[in-house]
Amino acid sequence: MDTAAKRVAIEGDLTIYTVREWRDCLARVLDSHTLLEVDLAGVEQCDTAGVQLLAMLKLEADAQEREVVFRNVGPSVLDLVMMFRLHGLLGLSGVVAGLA
Amino acid sequence: MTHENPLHTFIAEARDLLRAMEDALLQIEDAPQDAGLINEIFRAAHTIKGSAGLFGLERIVGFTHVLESLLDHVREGALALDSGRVALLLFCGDHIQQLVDHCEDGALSPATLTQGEQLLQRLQAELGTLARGGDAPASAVAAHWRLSLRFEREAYRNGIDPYAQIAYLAKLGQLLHVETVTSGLPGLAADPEECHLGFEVALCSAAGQAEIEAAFEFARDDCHLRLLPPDSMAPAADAAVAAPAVAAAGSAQAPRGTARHGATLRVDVAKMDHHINLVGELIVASAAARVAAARSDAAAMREAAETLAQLVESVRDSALNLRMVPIGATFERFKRLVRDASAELGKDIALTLRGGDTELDKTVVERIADPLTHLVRNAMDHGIETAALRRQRNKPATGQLLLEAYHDAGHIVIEVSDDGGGLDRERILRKAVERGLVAADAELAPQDIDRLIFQPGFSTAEAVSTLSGRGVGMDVVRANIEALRGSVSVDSVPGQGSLVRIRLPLTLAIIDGFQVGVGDSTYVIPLEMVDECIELGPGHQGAADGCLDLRGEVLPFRRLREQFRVAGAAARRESVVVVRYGERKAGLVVDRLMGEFQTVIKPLGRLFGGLPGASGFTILGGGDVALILDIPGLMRQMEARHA
Repeated sequence: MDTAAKRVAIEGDLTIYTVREWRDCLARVLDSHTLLEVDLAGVEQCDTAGVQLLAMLKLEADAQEREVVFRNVGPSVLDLVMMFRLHGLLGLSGVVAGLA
Repeated sequence: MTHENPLHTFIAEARDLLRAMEDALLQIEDAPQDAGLINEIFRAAHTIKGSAGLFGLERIVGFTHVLESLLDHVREGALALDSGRVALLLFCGDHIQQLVDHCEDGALSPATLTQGEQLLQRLQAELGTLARGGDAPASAVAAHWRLSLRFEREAYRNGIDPYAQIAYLAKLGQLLHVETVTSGLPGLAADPEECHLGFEVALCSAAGQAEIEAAFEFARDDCHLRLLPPDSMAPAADAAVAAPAVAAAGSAQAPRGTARHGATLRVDVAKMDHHINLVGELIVASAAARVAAARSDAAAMREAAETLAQLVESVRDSALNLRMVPIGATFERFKRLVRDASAELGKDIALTLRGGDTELDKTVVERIADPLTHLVRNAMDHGIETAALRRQRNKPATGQLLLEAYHDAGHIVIEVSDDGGGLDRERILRKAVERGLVAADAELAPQDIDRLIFQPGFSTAEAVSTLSGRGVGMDVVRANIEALRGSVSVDSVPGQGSLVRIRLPLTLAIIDGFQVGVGDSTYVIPLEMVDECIELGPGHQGAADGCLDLRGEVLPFRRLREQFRVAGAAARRESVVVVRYGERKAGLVVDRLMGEFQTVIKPLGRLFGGLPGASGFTILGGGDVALILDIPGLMRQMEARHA
């Protein structure tokens, strides 16, 4: 294990066209860190596949007793999270409550 | 009660309603035209739907709504309740039970969700058979639609974005609620390009069914849409009806089927236990007062103490009675079990229930249900033969299963009997030898062979079925029953059937005891187990092998002085208390006989939990502590010593 915590920034699109690459990248980092911070500030487009990947990452981390925290969640991601009511699962309840 | 979570009240009421519905469904097979029963089933579904609506339990509302529509047609006589539909409705009841059980934690398994969808499909197929069914008429006013969306794995790759689909729905009306089904969501190792999400959508829209379906036209190959038509009743009106219905369900307007339970009052178990405890203290205090009064000279005081003691006794009886419930409700559950299992096993089994109004302590009732279930399953699985085999053996094709309860000498006896093949002693013995439970050349009486089935790790099933053979053996049944201070025995006649008999104490809290003394210590023997008291004569003294002659009968005995290592020499004239438990008798040698005494059982703490021969303790009127003897345990010890 390199270090305990690691920050990964997702840049560009988080959609069906890119989820496989991001999955590979996130899985690699999660493997060697107990805390993973995912910075979503740079996400341009997001679709259901993209949000699904975030949920899969969170579940995987829970199963391995590791922690994933999402930072700087922009509107492109938040729109989906709120409509799908996935904020609880993704640990974003605080963010969503702040908007209301 | 004021602080009770209203959701818990809903859960409790819903369970009662579901039970009433199941009872009615089981009865309706014999009386398909009975309007009262049909109404009862309808009312149960309707009340559950209404109350669930008050709590915003969308899933329960959605499911019960379809069920209710079907029942409405039944009520109008448009649809007959044949056995297939009764079976479907029974499954629906089970499903609602699941939904109710998990309405608080929301932890529904994927299997339950799938089952719910399948049941809905079947209900809708039934509704579809009706001429006036089919498409719900497009309504002009905004109505409450429910959509279930499930996608093919390939959906994303085929250009479908569920987010866009649902966002489009918002143009048709107001999106009230979206619930994402994440139960199928895998970990990171799975293919992220595949769709693993499903959605439940509540939509308020004036659009017709065709219009909503059209929104998914483009995704038709990859999206499975199930559309639940709007409520026939406005939700507000529904809620207003529901509130009084919930209140009425448990009380005054008792519908048929629940009538036999009479008017009841729900009381918190903790409050009840506290009350029983206080009554226990009262008994002890009253005993102390009686002792003090007896020592004093004042006749008036003695008289008052006597009156008080009698009153306390009545209060005790009535308090214990509060905890007593008839075993009938537990018995009724087996109707369903037997019905389902008969179908599954391909056997024809008729269940007879007797003595359902026999009452026993609520705790005992609750804890006996599991062992009883196991015994009933065993009887169906291993006892009763298939119809073909029964004909071959010149028996009626229908196997008989009898559940019976009755009172006997301070105990309740529950019997599970069948007219099946009886225990296969040859196989039991072979298995016992294989497992090293008995020596290969042992000569065992038939009853001793039968008793082997209660040995740990013993299971005679040659094939493991879904019913029994799940690793829970008769030894677990025995342990559960003994934990309730009860016992279990089996009588079996080869080719004619078996009878399993469970003996249980009526209550776990208070017993009538018989006090005896050894040295300075006092012990209490449950009075109902005391058969007689005799003097240990000189002729008996030489009985060094631990047995004495009781009018020609061999009676094993044990000196309590030795059992509990009481210091000092034995009294000059010792007495023998002859105790009986079931068919067995034994003698307990004591210094003094001190008479009858009502006593509250207090459990032994963890420190003394393993003390052999004692089942609890009690505090005497004078403040001293006395052990309550565990007679079955002492007998087992004696038998082990003699074996």
